[in-house]
Amino acid sequence: MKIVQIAGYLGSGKTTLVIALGKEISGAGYKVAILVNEVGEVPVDGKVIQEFGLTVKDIGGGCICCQVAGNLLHTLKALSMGVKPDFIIIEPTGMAVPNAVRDVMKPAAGKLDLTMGPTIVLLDTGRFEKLLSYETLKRLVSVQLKDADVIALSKVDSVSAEQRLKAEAAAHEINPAARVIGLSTFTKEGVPEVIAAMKDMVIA
Amino acid sequence: MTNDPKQNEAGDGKSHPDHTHEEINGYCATYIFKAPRMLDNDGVKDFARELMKAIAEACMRHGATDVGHIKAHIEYGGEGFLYADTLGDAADIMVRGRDGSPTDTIKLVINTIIVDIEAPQIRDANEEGVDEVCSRLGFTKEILKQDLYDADDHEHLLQAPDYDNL
Repeated sequence: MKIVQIAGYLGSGKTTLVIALGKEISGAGYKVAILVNEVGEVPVDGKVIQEFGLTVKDIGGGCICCQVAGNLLHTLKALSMGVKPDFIIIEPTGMAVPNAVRDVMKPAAGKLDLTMGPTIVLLDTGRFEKLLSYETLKRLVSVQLKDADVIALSKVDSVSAEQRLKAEAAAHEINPAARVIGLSTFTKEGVPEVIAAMKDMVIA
Repeated sequence: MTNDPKQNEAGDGKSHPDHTHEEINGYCATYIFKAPRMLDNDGVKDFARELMKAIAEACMRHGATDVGHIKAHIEYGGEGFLYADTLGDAADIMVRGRDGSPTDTIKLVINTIIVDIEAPQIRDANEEGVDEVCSRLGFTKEILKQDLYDADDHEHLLQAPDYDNL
């Protein structure tokens, strides 16, 4: 079972990407489970993903990197003893710190036979400048990007070439080590590259 | 693993960067709306757009810096469902889904995450927006469930989960 985290700030396109990945990967014959963590007790994203026929486990009531970390581990354990999916795609909240989520899972990897795959962090090419201009949000967005193995520049179909280059430069500046991919779930640009990263990358 | 509350989940004693989202709060609720007449698919979509717009505007009036997101899952008319969302300055409201039968009853789950206003204010803004639209369009609302999310509750410095019993 390989764990892939699809992270990024609110509205960056995580749920849309998770649906696209779930459909593509399960269509190729792999078993996929999706874990969705949402703020609050009333889930929306999980319901939406389920409408597309994908297997979803909602983890609500707090953040999986802290308040409900135990629930995340128990859900992973249940999957490892039951469905045994090839891929577990985790969509944390838009406020989560990706490495904190990874820190929760790492000690359990050996016991549950989990392989740690990449953390893919989305950056909205249309909004990144505005987000990075708010002191409140700059720290969060920067920390999320620094934790990425892959940065997916989302919604590239809706911005100019110049804006896309700016986003790419900002991503490289914040995290020079990350692989940067242009992504549009509308045109499918970048989706094969994200899937290749999910399959190929193993994080120690 | 330690039970020291100053340890994080990984038990490595490091503090997670909790300060990153201290001004991001939220409100979520489940409603049943009754329309004054039967609505077709476009009617339900229009209602969803009106709600999102009114809620976003109310949040900005309450002092929000940014709409993190407002998203809703809507069930109606048998198999019908809609997913509606907006973010940023709420200029664009996306509504898409699967058509249902004509209906006067809509079940709507909404999740509103806003930057720089407190959770109770987000709840108030949300309900102001909902009430304004209901009043204008003649709908009634019933709240089935509601929950506030306060970033102060996002406490990273907890005791480690029990890895031994996995």
